[in-house]
Amino acid sequence: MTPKEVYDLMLFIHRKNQSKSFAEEECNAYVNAASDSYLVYCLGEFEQYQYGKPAARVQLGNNAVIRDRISPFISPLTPITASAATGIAELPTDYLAFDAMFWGSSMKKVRCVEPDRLDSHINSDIDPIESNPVFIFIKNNFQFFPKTITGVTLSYVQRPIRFSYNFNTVDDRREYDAGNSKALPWRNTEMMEVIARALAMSGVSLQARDVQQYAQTIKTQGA
Amino acid sequence: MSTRKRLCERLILQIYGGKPTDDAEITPNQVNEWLNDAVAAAAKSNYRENIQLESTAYVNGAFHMTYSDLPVVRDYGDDFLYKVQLPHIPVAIGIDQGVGSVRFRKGYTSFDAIPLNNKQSAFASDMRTIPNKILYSTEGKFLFLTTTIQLNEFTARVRMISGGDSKNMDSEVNVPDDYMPEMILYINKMLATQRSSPVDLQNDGRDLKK
Repeated sequence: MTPKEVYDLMLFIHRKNQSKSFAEEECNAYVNAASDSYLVYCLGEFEQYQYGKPAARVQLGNNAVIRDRISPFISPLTPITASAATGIAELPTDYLAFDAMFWGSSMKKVRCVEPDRLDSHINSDIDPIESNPVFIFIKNNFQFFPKTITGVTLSYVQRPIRFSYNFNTVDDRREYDAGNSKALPWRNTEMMEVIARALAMSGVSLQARDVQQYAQTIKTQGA
Repeated sequence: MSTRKRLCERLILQIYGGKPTDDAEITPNQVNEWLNDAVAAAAKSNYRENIQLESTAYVNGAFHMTYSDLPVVRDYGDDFLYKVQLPHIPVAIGIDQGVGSVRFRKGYTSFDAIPLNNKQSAFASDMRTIPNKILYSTEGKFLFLTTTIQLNEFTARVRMISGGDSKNMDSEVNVPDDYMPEMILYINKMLATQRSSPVDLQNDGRDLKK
């Protein structure tokens, strides 16, 4: 959905609900916050963890549907280069969450291990780290073992670009500036979830399916 | 017949109920470790069944494998004593079922060497060395050979009960298909124990206690 479609829809719903005025700046803030909120929900929230079972009810990799929904944010396989001296590689600048890591031409897994089990991996005779590399997260970096590893590729969830509805003021009227506005990469169906969350933040409580109905109304009757 | 890699993958699929994730603790190398034990257990089972069914103590030839070009070295302290390092410790079935036969090559192949058990080798060590005959006994991973022949100029060719090259995942598992189910059951039992064991999920400096 274009930023204009998003803003028009939210403005329309606010008017229908006879709420206060709804400025473009508010729209940008709420939509970005809602997008982050929905992405966190899809990636798995700590709050949903059950005692003794460290797994969220909804999380990345949980099923193909979730993965499909957040696929606009999953990067293509990205080469990662670690320092041969330290085995440390910086996270990509748009890194948000880990997905998978592979090594070598046969795409062998590089396993993310818990630091309290690291020595078991490093000193393993059955699966020596030279042929079964592992990594831990450390200070916003990947720390690889063995440190001399090369040829690593990473699949990760990218941080979404920020939504922005931009405008130019012409004769005291705000006119939409399509060239400088930025849409979120969510698909339309997921945008309904984002807009429903943004509306809830701005004081209008609606389900995504209700937002969908309003979107249809705009298409048939106009805003 | 199946390669080690293929059999390990099959067992992992079974234990995880499908393709394992990148978090899977059970790795092909680990299953391969259990495989060595399972091959020996299958050979022992074959030996026991042959005694029960046919009243003859033997292990089927399908469990045997020939290793060639094993170097022969002179053992320290005795002019007529030589030593061959085997690929692995022979299975301890019967008196000498672990190693089936030993021959030597240097352009031509010798007759089979004569096996001795522990007591026989004690007797033999007190006797004069028999000319042109090769006597051997096993000790852990080594064959000790007594002969007047300059054996270190030869290489050994040993036929022994063996599951194949355990370090090469692409090598075939040297076990007949009728003993595969027995091996799979054994490995599954071991891996199921690992899967059902409590896991320490807390990084609190204390070991998990039931």
